[in-house]
Amino acid sequence: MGEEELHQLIRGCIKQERGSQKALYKVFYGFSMGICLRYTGNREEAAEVMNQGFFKVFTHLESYDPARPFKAWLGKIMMNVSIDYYRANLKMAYTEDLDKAEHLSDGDLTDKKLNYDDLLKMVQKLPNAYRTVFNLFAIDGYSHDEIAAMLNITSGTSKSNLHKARQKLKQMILEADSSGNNINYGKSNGMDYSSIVAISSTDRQGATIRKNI
Amino acid sequence: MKKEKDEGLDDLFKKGLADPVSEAAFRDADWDAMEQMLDKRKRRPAILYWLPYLSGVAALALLFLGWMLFKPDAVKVQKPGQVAAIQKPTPANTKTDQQKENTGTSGGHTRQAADSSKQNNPAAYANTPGDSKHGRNGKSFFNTLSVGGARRGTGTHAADLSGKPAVAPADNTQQNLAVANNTAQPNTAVNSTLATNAPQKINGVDTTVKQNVIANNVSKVDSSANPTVANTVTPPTAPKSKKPAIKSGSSNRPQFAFGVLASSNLNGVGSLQESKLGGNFALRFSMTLSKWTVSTGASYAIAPYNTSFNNYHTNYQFPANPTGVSANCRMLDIPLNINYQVYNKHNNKFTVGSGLSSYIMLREDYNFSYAGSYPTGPTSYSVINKNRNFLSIVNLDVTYEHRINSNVGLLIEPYYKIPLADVGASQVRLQTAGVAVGFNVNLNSFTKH
Repeated sequence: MGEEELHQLIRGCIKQERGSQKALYKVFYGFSMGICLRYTGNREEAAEVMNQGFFKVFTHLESYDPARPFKAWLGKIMMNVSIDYYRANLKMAYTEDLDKAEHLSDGDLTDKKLNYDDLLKMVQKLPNAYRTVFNLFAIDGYSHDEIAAMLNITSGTSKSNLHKARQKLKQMILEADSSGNNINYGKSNGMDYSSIVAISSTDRQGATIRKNI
Repeated sequence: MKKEKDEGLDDLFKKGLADPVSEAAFRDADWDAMEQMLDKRKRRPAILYWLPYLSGVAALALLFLGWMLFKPDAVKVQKPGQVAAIQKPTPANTKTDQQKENTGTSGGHTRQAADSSKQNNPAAYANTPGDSKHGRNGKSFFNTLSVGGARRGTGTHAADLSGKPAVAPADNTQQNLAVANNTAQPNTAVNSTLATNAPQKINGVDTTVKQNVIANNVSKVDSSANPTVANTVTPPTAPKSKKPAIKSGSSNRPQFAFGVLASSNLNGVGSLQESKLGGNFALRFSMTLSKWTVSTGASYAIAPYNTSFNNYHTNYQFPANPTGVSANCRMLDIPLNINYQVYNKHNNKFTVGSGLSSYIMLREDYNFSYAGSYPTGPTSYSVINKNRNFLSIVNLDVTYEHRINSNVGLLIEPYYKIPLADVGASQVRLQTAGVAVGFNVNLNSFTKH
């Protein structure tokens, strides 16, 4: 399935065809979940946020410009609903004693061999406010001013939260390093990943789409 | 150096998280939840989103419509000496020759009434044999007769002048007669003198006075079942001066009022034992008909309260549960109340009322307190413009109104709000009790010409 097939799916979704909606959902499930997992504390929260994102997609698909990449549009929606979720929940991070983190030796963190699951679990362990700012700044590339506007906080608060997030992540990396680099503790928390995204033909088509857009 | 280290950390996560080796596996449960959301949207028409706004507009439109509907007709100002008769047209009483015939049979009274107005004068017909054919024919009419002068007023009943009863024939049914009698001297006998004769047989017909009322401006004779009626009206003295009369049907006319109130109140969860002081500012629109008042409007309310964390409901899993919650909610309260008047004397009025309120939560701020001095979890939580509770709060109130003048009244209103459902993001049973003070402005005064 190429771009034309994707647009066919989108047209079906605009007509509120449930089959098309499910196919689109399955095709972009992994991609969307990947974004939402970064912004939330666990898989359940991520699934809730992702569904809110897909709900927006299905109800506002008419406003999608087919000339632009659908995946980027979808990713932006997922990020926005994640921020909405943050806003609707805890706005202020609770204060934690970061003195220990302040005195941590930076070491050579880039040498650490950490896989996706390890990094994701570390990000998810961050307090909500730290995690959101870290995601927006370090991974999604927003400036502090933009983050301040998005989260309705000051630029200083954004910088402060980013600093604290980094300190906590460093602390976690060092702790993981000292415990033998075995920090894949996600499975007990409902995290379930498979190397095969889906088995249906729709999903195989979806895999093609993901490569194409 | 430190900046480079930070950037290195950021890159580590950016690269590591940007390209997941294994994406999250699809779960049917997530799609089921998605389908439920989509189905829910299908069942819920878009109009429901606008429901709170539409209901407010509808309530105001309804009240306005009622106001327009019940607004009195053009106020009638009668010149002295003018007689106006308003009646349902019937074949009999629209015929000129019928009038002439009646005039002949009823003597001076009818002639006088006919002279005083070119319009039909059914008041005279009602008391004359000639008019009885209306009743026999099953016709009914309602007449309003305004007599400018006392002398002419007495002339509406020829028999009265002679002191003899005028008798309507036997089956003169369904006649309602209203005589609007406006004289410069309200104390003159024409307005108030009424003699009710005992039932008597005239021309073989048993006449019974069933009801005969002449009030200040309105006289009604209802002879629905039996032939009527003997009126004796003492000839009045001549009027010294003549004033225009204003006819109003105020007894059945709804009163519309606009009110502005402010109040301080106590807010608590479950009870008011651990209440905090709040307040609100309200605009109210009300319609009063007889002893009943229906009111609606909107109030901006600030409702702070403290509660135990046990009363606080959330899906969020706190790392360690707080011990207490301090909340501050700002909301729109849209009430729909009905009040009944229990006392109304000397410009003082008491009403008791009840109704339902809808809360539209504008902002909810929650602060969490923990057992230790050091917070072990989130310290605050804010929700903006998310929760709505439609018609889920019962209002109870007692309203005291003191009329300062004909247009403005002072209001003092103790009230109590009892939730029927959990409200807000925290899903608490928020109770409110307070006293509102404000003013009521009578809108009907602006409609008089």
